[in-house]
Amino acid sequence: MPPTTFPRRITDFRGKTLTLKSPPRRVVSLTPGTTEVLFAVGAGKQVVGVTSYCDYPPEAKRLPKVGDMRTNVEAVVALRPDLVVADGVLNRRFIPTLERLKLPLLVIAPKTWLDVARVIRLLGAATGHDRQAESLAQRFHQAEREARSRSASATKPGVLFTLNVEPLPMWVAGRDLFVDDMIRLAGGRNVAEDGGTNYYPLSAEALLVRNPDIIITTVPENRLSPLYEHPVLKRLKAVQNKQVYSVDSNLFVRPTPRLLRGLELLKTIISKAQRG
Amino acid sequence: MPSGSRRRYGAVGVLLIVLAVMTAVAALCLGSEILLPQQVWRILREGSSSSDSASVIVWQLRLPRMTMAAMVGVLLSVAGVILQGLLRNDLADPYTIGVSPGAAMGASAAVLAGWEARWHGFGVPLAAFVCAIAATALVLMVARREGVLRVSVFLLAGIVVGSFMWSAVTLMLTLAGADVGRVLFWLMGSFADAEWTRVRLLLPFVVLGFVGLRAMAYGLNAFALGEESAAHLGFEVEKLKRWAIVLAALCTAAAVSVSGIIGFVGLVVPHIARRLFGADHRQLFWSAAVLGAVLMVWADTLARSIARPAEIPVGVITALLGAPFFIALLRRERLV
Repeated sequence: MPPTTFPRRITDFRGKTLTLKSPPRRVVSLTPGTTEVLFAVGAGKQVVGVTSYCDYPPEAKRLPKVGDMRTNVEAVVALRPDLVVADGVLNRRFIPTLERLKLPLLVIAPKTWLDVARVIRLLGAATGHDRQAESLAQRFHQAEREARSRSASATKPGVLFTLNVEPLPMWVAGRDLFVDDMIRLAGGRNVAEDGGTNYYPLSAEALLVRNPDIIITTVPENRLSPLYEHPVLKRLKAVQNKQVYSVDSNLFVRPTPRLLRGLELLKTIISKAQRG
Repeated sequence: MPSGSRRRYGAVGVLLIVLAVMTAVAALCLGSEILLPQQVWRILREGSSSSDSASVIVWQLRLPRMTMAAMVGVLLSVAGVILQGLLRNDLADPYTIGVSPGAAMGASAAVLAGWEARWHGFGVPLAAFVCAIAATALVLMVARREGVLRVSVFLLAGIVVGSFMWSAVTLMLTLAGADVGRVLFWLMGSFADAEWTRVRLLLPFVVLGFVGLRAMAYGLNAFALGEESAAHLGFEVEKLKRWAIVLAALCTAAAVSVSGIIGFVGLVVPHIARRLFGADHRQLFWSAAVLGAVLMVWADTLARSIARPAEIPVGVITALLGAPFFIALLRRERLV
């Protein structure tokens, strides 16, 4: 047993409070991100249900499935969960049903880098793994502090984070995303920040004018050839200087401790670009 | 032709040309970056060799995009004129004959199969085109019996085949998972990936549609009197029907395969053109074509301007622009 006290009251991102009498033993996780966090804080053994997209850590793949991005509510109920963890955006359509069934529900809705630390603490507290959660969460605060202490005078390369290269328009990361924060924390400047929230389609004209120094994309390397052939894209600074990087999307889009690895990757890319 | 109507057509011609020029100027000046007309003029005179960003925007983005939007506008309007004339039904549009659901099915399957980068980016358009033609062929087979194409059955068959295929698209989307966004953006229609190579591919279809519709103008005029009257006037109605549908399907399939599904233009432009410039197909073939191009280019210009630097699907704008204008026209005639 973890050295913590139950019963305890947990307030989630909606501001709703859930009382847990004892550490939950039958946790159902409704997104790949929440599954990852639960395992990362040490609550993996308490998880009894995940989605078919939950591929990390590998142990999660062996657990019973309760749907994909669409939750199979019947499958959730059948597992008799004592805690259900959902994402306020990804599981939006199913939350009212889960509420109506009076399932013990915690909803996360992280938008910023520090929100991820809050998710980790929240799920750690709910499952009785406060200490492990706290040390993980501290690493997110540490990254903030490091970025603040870095000299403000260093040039900030323009970075574009995109989910596709073709067909245009590119779907790029705007505000209210961890990636946006991560670019800032790694010493870069998100060139698409002012255009919208979340991922949005950036017009090719705007792309050309913003002319990023670095393009980070989740498109695999062997499918990047359109960048070098397209009459407009091939003129971009990042393309001409070969500053286009394919990355594992899981290190950038899921609100999990793996974002720390994504941040390290970004730092390496950006500092290389700064050096020349 | 009486001289009064000739003068009227002359005035209409001048009006359409002025409209087209104004549209082109607006399309080249407006967008995510706003350029002044004199700036655009200078860039056009300098030629396409400059690597200045304004020059690239005009030559590599706005010109091909404007041209492609205009061409798709022409193709959809021509197809709409043909089908409304042939089927003598005000609600007929290029999509009622199964072309768009067919294309949607082909494109969705191709996106999900990961064909986006195949054949230099033409994997998806090609799949859309082939399936669009196949869908129309299926509709034709259903509606034909003993060499006679029954027009009323044709419309119904188009709608039924269409709903069948839309369901298949929905099923694919349900199973698609992470690729849903890309399929949806294709379905909503966009000119964002316009390039000169695509413009070149589209050109033969525009010529074909334009020439073909002009050639059919007499036949379609006769058809307005009814199928039987057309036959009495000496037209080979079965041949006309067959070729008209083939032409409409080719035009629509070509348009849909490069731009995705853009509603409303094919339905509304023929009506607007008929009301403004007369229902004679010898005039209609070019008045509808110019109007279709103008409406489409405006729609695309707004699509890339109003939410800048983001883009809006162009199909949203065609309906937003077309519907109020069409309603105003109907009200003026006191038909509603």
